[in-house]
Amino acid sequence: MILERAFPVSSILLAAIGFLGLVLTGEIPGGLILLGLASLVVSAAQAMEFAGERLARQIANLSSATWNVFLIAVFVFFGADLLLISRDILPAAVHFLILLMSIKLFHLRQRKDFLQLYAISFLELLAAAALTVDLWYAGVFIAYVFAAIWTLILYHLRNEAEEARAAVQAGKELHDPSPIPRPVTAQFFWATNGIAVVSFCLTMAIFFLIPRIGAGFFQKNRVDLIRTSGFSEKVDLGVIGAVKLDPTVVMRVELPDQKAPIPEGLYFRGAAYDTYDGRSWANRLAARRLLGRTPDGGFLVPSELTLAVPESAVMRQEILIEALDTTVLFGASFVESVKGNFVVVQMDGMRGLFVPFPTSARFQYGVRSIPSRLLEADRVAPSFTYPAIIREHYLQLPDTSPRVAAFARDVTSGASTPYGRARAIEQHLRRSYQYSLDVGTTVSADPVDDFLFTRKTGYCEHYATAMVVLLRTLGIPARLVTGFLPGVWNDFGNYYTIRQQDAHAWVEVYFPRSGWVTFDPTPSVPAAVPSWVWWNIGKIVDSIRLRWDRYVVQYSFRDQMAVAKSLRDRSEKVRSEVSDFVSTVTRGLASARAWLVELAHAGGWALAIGLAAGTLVIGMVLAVLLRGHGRRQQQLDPRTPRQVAAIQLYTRMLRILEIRGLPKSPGATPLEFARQVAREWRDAAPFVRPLTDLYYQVRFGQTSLSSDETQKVHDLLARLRAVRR
Amino acid sequence: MRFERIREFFRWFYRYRSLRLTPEGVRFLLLTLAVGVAALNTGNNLLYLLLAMMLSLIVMSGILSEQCLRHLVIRRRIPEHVFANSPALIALSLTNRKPRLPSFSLRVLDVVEGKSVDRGVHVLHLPAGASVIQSYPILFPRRGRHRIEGLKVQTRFPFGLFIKAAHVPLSSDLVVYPELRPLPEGFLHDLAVLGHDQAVSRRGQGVGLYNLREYLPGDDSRMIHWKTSARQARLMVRETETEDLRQVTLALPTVIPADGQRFFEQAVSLTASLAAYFQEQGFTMSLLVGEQEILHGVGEEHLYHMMHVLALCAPTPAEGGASSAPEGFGMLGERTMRGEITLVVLPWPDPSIQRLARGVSRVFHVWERP
Repeated sequence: MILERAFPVSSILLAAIGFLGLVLTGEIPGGLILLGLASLVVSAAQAMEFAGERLARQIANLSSATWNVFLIAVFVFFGADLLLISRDILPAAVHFLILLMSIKLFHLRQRKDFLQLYAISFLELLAAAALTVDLWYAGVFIAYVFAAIWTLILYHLRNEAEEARAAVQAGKELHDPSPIPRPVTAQFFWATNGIAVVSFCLTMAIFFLIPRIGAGFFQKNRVDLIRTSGFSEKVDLGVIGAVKLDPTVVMRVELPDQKAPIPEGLYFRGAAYDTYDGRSWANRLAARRLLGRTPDGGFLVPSELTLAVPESAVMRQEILIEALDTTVLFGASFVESVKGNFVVVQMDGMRGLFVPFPTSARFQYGVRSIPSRLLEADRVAPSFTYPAIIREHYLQLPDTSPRVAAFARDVTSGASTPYGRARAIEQHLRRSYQYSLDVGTTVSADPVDDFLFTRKTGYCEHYATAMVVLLRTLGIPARLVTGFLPGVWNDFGNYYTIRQQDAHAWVEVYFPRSGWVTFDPTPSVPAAVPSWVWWNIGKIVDSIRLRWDRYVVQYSFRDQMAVAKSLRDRSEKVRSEVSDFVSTVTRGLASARAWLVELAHAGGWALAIGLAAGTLVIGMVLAVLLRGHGRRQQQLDPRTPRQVAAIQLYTRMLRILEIRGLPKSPGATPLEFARQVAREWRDAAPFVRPLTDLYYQVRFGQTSLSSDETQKVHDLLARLRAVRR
Repeated sequence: MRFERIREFFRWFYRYRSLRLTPEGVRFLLLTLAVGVAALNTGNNLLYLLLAMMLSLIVMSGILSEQCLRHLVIRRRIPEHVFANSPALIALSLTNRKPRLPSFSLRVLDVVEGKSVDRGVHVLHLPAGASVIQSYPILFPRRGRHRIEGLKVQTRFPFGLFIKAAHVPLSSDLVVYPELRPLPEGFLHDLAVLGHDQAVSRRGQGVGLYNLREYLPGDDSRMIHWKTSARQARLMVRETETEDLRQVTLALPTVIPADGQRFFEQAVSLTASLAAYFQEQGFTMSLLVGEQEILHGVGEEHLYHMMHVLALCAPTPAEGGASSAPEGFGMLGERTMRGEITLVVLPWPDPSIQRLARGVSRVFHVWERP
């Protein structure tokens, strides 16, 4: 492609990318999208000399007066849009930009026209930045960087050539300057793209280094809040069921101290409820108080207990939460402190955390939690005397049928302690009742009675409500809690993706010495086995999205300080290690020298020199031998490609098991490890044993996997990955 | 004082490079500033991203323009003999010594008396390892010693936002000879008559016709004059007149009054023009400029030697309206031999010189000429 053609094409492409940025925000009316597209297509046809060029030329050859009339019309439209249609500066400005772009695309004659088109496309990208924070913006931005580099270089070269030609014609220059290579050669193509890549890397480096001293607390973006259920002051029984099929992501949780998912017992607590009227739960302790600040800028949640907790027991979380319609702050049970870009944080009487208003954009905060722990004294105590406030709030019961109390006594007949009774009810509900979201639409007069004795199916709310009611009939204080299960662990980003469908209800039981302890009577549900490829692609995309949010959209001064501190710590560590190494070597050399001198003084000069020379020779021989050994190892690897493939599949299985908390010890044979898995995680045994057998068959049996067997291995791995532990 | 020092430091620091904004660059910087303010004001990280992109373009401008200007070898070739007010062609050769990277949009400027002078040398593309030669005319209005202090190579590559210049310390010294002016027709006629009057005919090596005689054995056959031979029906040969005695002495007094600078320059220019004329005519020339004398000689080398002296001669102020004539001028009349022309170019009516110049062939009064 020649330079004269490449230049307008790249200019139009730049405009198209700016326009695409605006279109993807979803804020542009269809008419304007069509107008923008039409002007881009006609302009591109003119530049590429395709069909339609004649039409484009006819449009472009309109008189200046006509174009001025168009411009005035656009300004008038902008005024009308601002005052009457959009009634907001940003949408009106965006519409105005698209109209201006369309006019400019038809009227690209002089140098200033191109400059104005570039300015318009940049403003479009700027407007898109104000309208969205979605991941697609990253793609548009990267494309824009490349197009901008191309366009600016071509613009410059074209101007230089034109100026030189004009100077020669005017007699200012004697010679026609050395011509610019007219065709865009492969070398030019790759060099320009290389410049674009370097520019992009530089952009990212500068982006992370620019000090964040802005005043914006949250992104002032226009996003639709995600509707949630189950976190208001009063919750009707069954509301969580409505969202259990909604895959919308509500938050992503990173555990900085964990590289693998936590096997069980992780609940992201939202709101708690003490009062049940037979149909709905309510919070009578909803009065909120402000939390005090910690020295590092966080907010401290006052502890109910005076027990000292070791730092190793603390679980840190970085939570990136979407714009929800609730003011609840979620965190793993039980939150000790919360830190984020908040002005205030409030807490109700049941340790629910709140911000004053729902936030208009996704935001990030950090949480420190201390998991509940049952003390031995509470485990074995036959009975408790509860404080009056606990009795008043957490033993309340609606009118229930007598058979509920009888049922509770019946289920717990074998237990002699409150803890034993709670555990017995939990286990009974888990084992004897069927989990189902299909509970019908008829409203029962007594949902708990209906669940326990009639339907015997339900979902988390039914289980949790039933357990609280059963415990309360036995005089054990309990409350219902709503929040989220950890969702899906993303191996690519080491975080949990939590969706609406992970909304959950569970139970907290009060023990005088241990405080509130979590119980979950809902049985775990086997997850559906999705397509392995799509499942992983989804995870990768989600991981990229998290990184985009975490490191670009939510990047803050706090992150910059953390990076600076980490760099300082690392440099200090490296410095101290180098210093230790140098001093060790120096000491070693000094002592060797002293020994040799001593030896020499004792009359053994020849011996000393011989020792030194011998050491040198041995060192050289060892180096040569080690090098040769390494090469031989590489050359003499006896494994066939099929065996290597079998090892890779087996390694994949080991990795899955390791993530689930079952690492293979180096000393265990594959068979021993398969037996260990069968003992410790019975659900995985049906997949691990066949996989191990196939591994043995290929690795040591000198046979290869048939296509059916290969397919079987992949299926087994997929099913193993889907089993929850 | 401190400010001056800081300025001096920056001048020293940037002695090899300078940076200037283009109009597009000014707009770009203003837009960058606006985006920066918007990013700070809103805390929107996507605006910070755009700000970073704009800053990276500025940094890339600096890096790529530096790459363009690096490893360029420039040579300047100046003609040996340059006359005032007569265009001379200077050749510049640019070589890109980079192994892989080309250079784009190069402009080469001369630095004269601290100022950059655009000579219109513009190279749009110089591939890696390639050379290009460009020449440009240069006009010096005054005679004397001139100095081109260096070169400035500019580029606006890659985005046209900045003009980056590299200062190349490639100085050139040259002596510009006095302006050669065409001598008026009447003046040339006078000189021809004067030459004829002073001529001493003698046979010898030369160009002018001395005699025609009959061919004798041993004569050079190339000297046969065929037309006369045909007319007289016998072989006739042509004898030439010796040029040894076609001598001219040019004398230029350098003592002038305070307001005589203009006429002195005209006198220098006239002397140089006369010298060029007599050189063309094949005269042997000597020159007397003030106290400085160049003895008789002939040929181009001799002429340029005379031009060099004339280029650098400086006037001496006269005291009390008259000068004490230089020693050489005292003997002008006496030493003029028969057949030799002595010309005195007087920049002003100096009575002492006029008195001494009575015996010479001709005295030119410069102040009387338009």
